[in-house]
Amino acid sequence: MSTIVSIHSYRGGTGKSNLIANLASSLVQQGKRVAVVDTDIQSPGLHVLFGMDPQQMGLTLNDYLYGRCSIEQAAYNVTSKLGPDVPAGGAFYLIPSSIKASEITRVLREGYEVNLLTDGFRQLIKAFRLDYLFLDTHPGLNEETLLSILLSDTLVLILRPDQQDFQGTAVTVEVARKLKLKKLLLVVNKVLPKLDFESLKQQVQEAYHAPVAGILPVSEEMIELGSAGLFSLKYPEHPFSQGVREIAAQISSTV
Amino acid sequence: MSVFDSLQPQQDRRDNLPERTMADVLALPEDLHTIMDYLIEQGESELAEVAAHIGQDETSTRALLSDLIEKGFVQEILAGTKHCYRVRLVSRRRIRLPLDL
Repeated sequence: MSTIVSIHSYRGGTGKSNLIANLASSLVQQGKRVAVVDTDIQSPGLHVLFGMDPQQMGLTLNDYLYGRCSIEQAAYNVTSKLGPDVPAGGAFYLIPSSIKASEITRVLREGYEVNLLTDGFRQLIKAFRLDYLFLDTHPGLNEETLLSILLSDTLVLILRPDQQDFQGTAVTVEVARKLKLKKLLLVVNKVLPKLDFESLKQQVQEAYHAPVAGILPVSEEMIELGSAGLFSLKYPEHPFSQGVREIAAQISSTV
Repeated sequence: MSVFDSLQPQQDRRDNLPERTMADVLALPEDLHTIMDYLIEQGESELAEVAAHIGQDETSTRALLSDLIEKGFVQEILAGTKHCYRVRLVSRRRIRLPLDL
């Protein structure tokens, strides 16, 4: 039985791709089989966290959606990026989106068939015997986001302690509930360490009537890293990394 | 009149159906929305499976599915020897962007 998890935010810059990469890594380090699909086809970036050079990148999700390859051919085994300590059985696959301007504008111009994407997800789960399939989405509410939410067993909504994020998240929660969402978790990211995390958690839970899976601190180390790697590997004892592990545990417990 | 001539009106009608997206699904009435959610998750399903999911008899379910086909949300396909229903959705409506962009 596999679980599909979408990570979404109403606005950009919330740390969505960083969270998804680190969450997925945490589960792989527990021996799980995980794939992450960069469904943010309009502004892909997940591949950067895995050190993939856009010029060297081979097949992508775009190639699959336009019939140029199978979805398995667009999947890269990135397990070795986590170092030698991955337990037996653990595996990590990344399905990147193309960073070529012509490919991005083609998606904007033509879209793609929804059946192809959903068939692709089912095929990935089967071919790689996945425990978890993570979907990185484009921020905001759009038609592709609605599809990701509908397909998910768990939706993780990430927001910053910011009035624009608070309002936008309320709208997203409302729409997600219309789609009969199975499980919703909230994550507040980039929180000043001096704030009372427990109090913030209570306030957010009460405002959205949904559980907060984690409050993650803003960190200089994260800014310094600048997406050049997986934060929780480089700083495993950092409060951010500890928070990611707690969120991963809550995702596991929702299965 | 060949068999292809008789199929042409059906083909023309399919080609004239509007492109449907998830935003359109959200605007559907509850019973149709429930069927769409199920078909998206399942990939494709037979009439009996859809009927069991929504808890209605096959005649009522067939009427709902016909409504979805008429509106351009669902297509009936032949999967092997089985007649199945499958969604007909695009990720987004086509937009006019210069081809050299």
